Amino acid sequence: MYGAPSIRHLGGFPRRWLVILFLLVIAWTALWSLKARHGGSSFDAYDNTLPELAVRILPRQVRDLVAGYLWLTADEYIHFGPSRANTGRFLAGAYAGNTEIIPVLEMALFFDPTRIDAYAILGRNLTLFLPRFQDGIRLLQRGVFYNRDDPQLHELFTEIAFNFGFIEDYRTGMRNNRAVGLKYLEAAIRAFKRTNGGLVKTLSIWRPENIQAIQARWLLEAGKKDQALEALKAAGLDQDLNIPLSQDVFRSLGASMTSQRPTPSTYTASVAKTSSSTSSSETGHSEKAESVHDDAEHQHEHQHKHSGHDSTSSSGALFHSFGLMVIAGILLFTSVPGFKPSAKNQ
Amino acid sequence: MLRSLSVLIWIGWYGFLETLRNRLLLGVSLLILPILGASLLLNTYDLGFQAKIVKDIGLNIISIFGLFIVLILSLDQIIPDMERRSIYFVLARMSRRGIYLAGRFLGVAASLAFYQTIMGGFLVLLLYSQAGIWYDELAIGIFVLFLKQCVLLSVILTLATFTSKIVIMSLGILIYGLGHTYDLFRMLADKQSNTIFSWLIECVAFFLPDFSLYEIRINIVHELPFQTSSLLVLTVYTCALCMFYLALGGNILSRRDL
Repeated sequence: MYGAPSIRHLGGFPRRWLVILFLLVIAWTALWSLKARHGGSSFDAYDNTLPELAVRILPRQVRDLVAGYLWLTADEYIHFGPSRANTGRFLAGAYAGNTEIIPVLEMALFFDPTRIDAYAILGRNLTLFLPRFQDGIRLLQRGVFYNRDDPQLHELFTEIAFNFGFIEDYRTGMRNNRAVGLKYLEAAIRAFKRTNGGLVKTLSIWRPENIQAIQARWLLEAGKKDQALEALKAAGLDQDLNIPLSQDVFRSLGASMTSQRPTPSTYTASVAKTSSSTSSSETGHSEKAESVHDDAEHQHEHQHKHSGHDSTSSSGALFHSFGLMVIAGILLFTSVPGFKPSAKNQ
Repeated sequence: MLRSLSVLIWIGWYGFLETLRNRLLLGVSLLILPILGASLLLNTYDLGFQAKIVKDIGLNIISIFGLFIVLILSLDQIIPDMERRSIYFVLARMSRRGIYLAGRFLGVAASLAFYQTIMGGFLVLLLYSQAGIWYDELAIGIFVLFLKQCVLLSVILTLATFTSKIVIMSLGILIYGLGHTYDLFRMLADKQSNTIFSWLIECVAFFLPDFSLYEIRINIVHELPFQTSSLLVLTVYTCALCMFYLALGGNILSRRDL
């Protein structure tokens, strides 16, 4: 009489609710299966907090609108002087050391993580002018993650390389780490090729010829003369041009070159050639960016310990990257049903 | 005259008390304070308190909340009185219907001033506690916001005398949006050298308020000097507009068959 009531005895209540729950579970499963299949946009959680996930409820257009307004506000803040609370700490018209634009740009990126220009300004401000080197590098790496198919991606890689390679000029007590910077420059060249960066017209100074000029300089410092010469050839710089950087490098190399500069149409091909000779095969996955990051971080730590730029061999780093990629691939393949590594490139 | 003034003040006072009893509004206003306080969370990289962004966000929040007050409260003033027939008891004790409209305006304006004083005071105290500086220009900013919302209030109350709620909301938002964009339309008309379009814009701008005059956010946020004479002219412009719309609304209400 007082035994456990069956489903029928409860007036159909559990049965009805079980059906509803079952339908909900099916809908939920279908939703996440679809998201997993088109994972490029749905599983972009790099460092997502709850507010960041919550703001995704808003339509993309609204988020872009808010981010655009905040971007314009940051521009306005740059062009006015500091508040009374920050008198004399930075100059009007410059972002250097401008702490007031930081919350605005942070919010712009909060609403639109693909706003690539904001990463460059914010990252450089944090690393070079404010005592937040690690934060700035992490932010730029986050920018790389969110913009991995953007034609301006190479600019972000170069920003990171610039920060590693010239930090001494801006901050006392910190040392340049050009070995790490070179890794990012290589990644920049690869990204330029993969994302068809040459098709986009920008005013940025981070064009591949400039990137490769810096790369040549740093390779020369690292004692890799052949690669430096190759990078210079790819950059189209020659000793006849009145560019102190190229003349210095040429003088150091003792090399002679013709004064023919590559035309824009042949340039992409030369970039492709150089990048294929200096790097391993191009994968184009975000894991690659991650592996470059991990590799760079590892190398950075290693160099701090041994205080020598050439102590880490590039083959070891390559092996490390490859190992990380294989492990990441296995993990992804086994954890996500239906995961196809080749589908991400399409 | 004195009797009319007395009636006006009493209607305004009871309208204000009615607003204070509105629990929803009080709840929302209490929610605004933690949102203003949340600006402290913007210090992501421990670079210190950034007063500018807090001022900017604070003023925007106060402005948006003021807009909600105007839209929500002004709809609850005249139309429900007509629907409940309680307007008969009020109109029976006064000679002109325009006084009733002005009294209702006064009540909502007093509520607006009350809530904006609380929010503005909280913002000023927050900035003082973090930056150690009294940002007294915020008082001017909040006063100008109050003037702007008073104009919108008078427009909405005028619309409430002859239209339904949905039309009031639509027209109110349209007029508010249009009031911020006259300069844009003037520029377009100039570029196209279209005389008829320019003339049409000026005709509309003559009767409808120009809200872009109240945009002093840049002065307040970036601590640029603000002329007292400009503030006086803005106050005169606001008073003139409010009186015009209330007179228009009163005229329409007095001709309407209730």
